[in-house]
Amino acid sequence: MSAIEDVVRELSRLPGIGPKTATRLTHSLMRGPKEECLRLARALTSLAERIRPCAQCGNFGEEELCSICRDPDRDAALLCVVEGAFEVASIEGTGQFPGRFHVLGGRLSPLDGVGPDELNVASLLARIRDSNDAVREVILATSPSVEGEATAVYLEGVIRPLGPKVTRLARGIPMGSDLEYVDGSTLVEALAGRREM
Amino acid sequence: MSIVTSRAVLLRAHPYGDTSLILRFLTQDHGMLGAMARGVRKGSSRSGSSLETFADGLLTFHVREGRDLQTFRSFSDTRTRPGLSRSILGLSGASLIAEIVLAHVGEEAGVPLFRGFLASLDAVEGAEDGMRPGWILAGAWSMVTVLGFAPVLEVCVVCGVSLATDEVGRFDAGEGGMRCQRCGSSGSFPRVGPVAREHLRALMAGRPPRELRRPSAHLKLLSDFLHFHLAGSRRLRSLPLLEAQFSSLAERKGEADTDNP
Repeated sequence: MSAIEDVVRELSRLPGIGPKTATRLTHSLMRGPKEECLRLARALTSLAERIRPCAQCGNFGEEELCSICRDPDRDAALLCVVEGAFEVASIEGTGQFPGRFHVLGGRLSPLDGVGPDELNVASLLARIRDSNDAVREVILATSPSVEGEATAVYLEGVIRPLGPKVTRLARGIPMGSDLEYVDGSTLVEALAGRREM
Repeated sequence: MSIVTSRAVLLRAHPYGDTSLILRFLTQDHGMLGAMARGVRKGSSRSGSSLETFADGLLTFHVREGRDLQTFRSFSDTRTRPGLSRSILGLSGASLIAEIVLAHVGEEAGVPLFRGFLASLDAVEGAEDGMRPGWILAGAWSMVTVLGFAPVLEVCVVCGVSLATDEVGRFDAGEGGMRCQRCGSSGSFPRVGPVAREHLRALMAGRPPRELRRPSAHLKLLSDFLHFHLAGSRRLRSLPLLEAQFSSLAERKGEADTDNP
């Protein structure tokens, strides 16, 4: 197999990239300066060699603990539970969350054979139980789908007996959308979660 | 390319790229349907928030003959089933019923299957906690029956003799039903007495008996039957989680750990 076919095959394995896009990307790399291609190769090598899951929260980092878990200025008593490391980046991007994270590594999905044992639930409970700074609040930031909601309901059931307040991200009308086009279930959630002005 | 509208229920949604989904619907008029829904994961998408697993509504899609994946256009007037997410038991039960349908329905599905499937989801969602295992078993067995795989309960699957009303036979999942007392004496098939047989009949008709005995053993019977007749060599993925839920319920109720329903 040629080097070109190798690269096309490897790129096609990435989510959202089909054979055509992979071929286009490969040709773009070949057309550009050799140094550009090598820089990408070095970045990928470094990613594979240096990045690992954080021993505490499951987020990705370069050391045993990720930068968020190491940061002494983060509120260790406020924990946000997310499905994947991608969501950590999204919430971090807001610059509004002062606490720390816990990455579940997915959500309950019986159709995919994913139950509580396949998620990082035991480490979450151990973290709440054994933490030096008593965890005051756990925010369940799983996705607003049937599976995400089931995950949140399950987690609430196992976390609440340990003491912390358990909260769920609000659901409702997205910014920039038009009320006329919002579906019924979202409107019901928005009405239920309304707040005083 | 023509535009088609049908009542449908969403069974699966796989992310595709950054903003799209590949969806699998059970439709009332066109059986199982795969559709590509571009851009629906964007916050501004009108259809995105209604695309919840087990929601049913009016699906509109573009059809091009010969394609495996049609083009999604909209999903409206949806009825979601948030009650299924309130327990792992409810979610895994609904998932098992969906998995049976996903594995065995092609383009030929009709109104009875579609309505039966929705009725099963509603029953599992709305059931009181104590009745939920029964409704899950009834939903799964009734789908097996509508799909034409019902087990034989009235005559022996080996010798063909009718079983007496009070006969205690054995359930041979591989052969597809009951063995009479004589044919069942050799082998380690689960024992099924007249009450358990009556309960099985009720489950296949989609009506769980009020006093269903040993739901765990009934689930084992169903699981073995699915393995031989519907799922092929692979186990249905939702079964282990469902079995764990049934076992923990049985433990709490102090039921004996037995394969005999």
